[in-house]
Amino acid sequence: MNGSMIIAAVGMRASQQALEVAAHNIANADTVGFKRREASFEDVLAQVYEQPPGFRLPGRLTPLGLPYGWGANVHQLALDFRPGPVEETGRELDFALEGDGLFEVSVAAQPQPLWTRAGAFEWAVDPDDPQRKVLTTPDGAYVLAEGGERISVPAASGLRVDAEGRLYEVMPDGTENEFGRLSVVRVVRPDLLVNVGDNRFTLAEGAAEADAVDRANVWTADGGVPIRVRQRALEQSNVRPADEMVDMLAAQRAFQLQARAFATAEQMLGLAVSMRG
Amino acid sequence: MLRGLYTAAAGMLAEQRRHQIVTNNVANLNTPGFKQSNAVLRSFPEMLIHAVGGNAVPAARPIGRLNTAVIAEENLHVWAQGDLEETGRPLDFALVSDIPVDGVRFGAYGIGVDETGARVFQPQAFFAVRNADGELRLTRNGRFVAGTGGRLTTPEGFEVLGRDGRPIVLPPGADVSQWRVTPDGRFVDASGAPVTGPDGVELALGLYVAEDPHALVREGDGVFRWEGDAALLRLLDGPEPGVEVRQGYLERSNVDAAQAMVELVAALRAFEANQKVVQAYDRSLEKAVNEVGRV
Repeated sequence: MNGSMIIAAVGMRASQQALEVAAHNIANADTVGFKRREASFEDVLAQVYEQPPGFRLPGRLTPLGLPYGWGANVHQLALDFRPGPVEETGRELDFALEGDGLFEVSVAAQPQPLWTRAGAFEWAVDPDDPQRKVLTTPDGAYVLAEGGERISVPAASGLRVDAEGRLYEVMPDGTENEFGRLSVVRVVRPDLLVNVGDNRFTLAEGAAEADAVDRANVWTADGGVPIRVRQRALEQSNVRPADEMVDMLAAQRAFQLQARAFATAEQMLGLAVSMRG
Repeated sequence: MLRGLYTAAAGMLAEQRRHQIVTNNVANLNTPGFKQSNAVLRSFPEMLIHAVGGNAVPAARPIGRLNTAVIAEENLHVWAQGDLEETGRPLDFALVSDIPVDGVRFGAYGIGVDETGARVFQPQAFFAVRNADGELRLTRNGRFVAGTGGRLTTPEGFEVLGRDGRPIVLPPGADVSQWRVTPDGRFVDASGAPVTGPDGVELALGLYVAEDPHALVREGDGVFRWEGDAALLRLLDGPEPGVEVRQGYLERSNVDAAQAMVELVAALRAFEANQKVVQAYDRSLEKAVNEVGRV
């Protein structure tokens, strides 16, 4: 009975975690640039009730020993990197990436590389020169150009970014100056990226940047779909609420069945305990 | 003591083991590639019973055989094919395994009967992985991830083996989403040309067929250990009838929830019945001990 109770409890915990992953995805169904996470189950390390050689009886099919498992665990996979739908917004500082690219941003307090898919940017006053402004994310992270520099333009000018990431400052009289290129990396191994909150990703612990992302082969088509930037558009969340609801239902029903298994195990324990008086 | 007391206790233990195995099935209702297991109970050991006393000649006359206990003998896996679930992930693979054998028609559970009436179990196909000690393990859970150094592994870190028996290493910088996998497990790029690894070997998933699926022992973490004759486990070196690899799909658990519920209740009630038998013996013994011969 005790073994059953432990197995049922482990199974319930796994079902609950799967439910939490689905709930987190649904909560972010409207978050710009959000990439959904997936939970994946695996059965827990099994043990064997040893059996003496006398148990090898005629008609037996399996090797000696009675193996039994201890339930299931949830492993969270990194990210589902399929693209979300792109919506035209008409806003100058909204950018969407086509292909497996990520914008590069930096936050003063965090030295590790940070990338994001959410291209809804804003202007902030340049901390080095109040006559200029810099491109930032809504919570203040600086968007980087190739070379790791912030993107800074005079306060009065606009910004145009072409399909291959080249940056142009647009003067009030309409003339344009090309002054750099947006820093975009191509994602090669999404399993090596982790979500650090605020819609940003970084390298998983122990992963090398060269394994996870590619800086060289971004705008060309070698090895896949070329990455393009679309201005005045935003990529929506890639969560599909119908799929998440199905996952939630499956987790809920599994939880229910496991609770039922627990209840019968508990009844058996009660019978054993009350056997004498 | 009365013989039946220990038999009833053995019955309780056997039903408890059966319940435990069914609970493990229920816990793995959503585990990809999981194969349901059924506990098999066996009545064992046998004793030859003699009638003693009375006017019988000889003095002890054999009556017959009596089983004095029941045990949970073994844990048989059910090799029914799990449903395929589309995930769209380029490194998710499902194996469809329906290997034909001459002269035998198999049912949904992989059991068939040949011309002589003997029971035949259908061979089953598996992906090949390697554990941290370098030992071969087999799995039906095709959810793989590309880790550091481009090695293809399961989420627990078991390295996926290729057709050459060595771990699969993806070429650096390669965009896996553009690759396709043929039904016999070879990787090809968007133009149909085979993909080669860093050492020039064509990348192909290592697939094994186990002729006797009952020689597999489940270890957990999604893998099985082969404990049978080495000759009965063969590595596929090309397309095999009845074995198909599907990319972007996962094979769901083949646990039957309704059957599991029924077995849980059956185990509970059998446990209860055995408990009542123990209580009946207890009352008899109480009379024997306390009341017989009381003055």
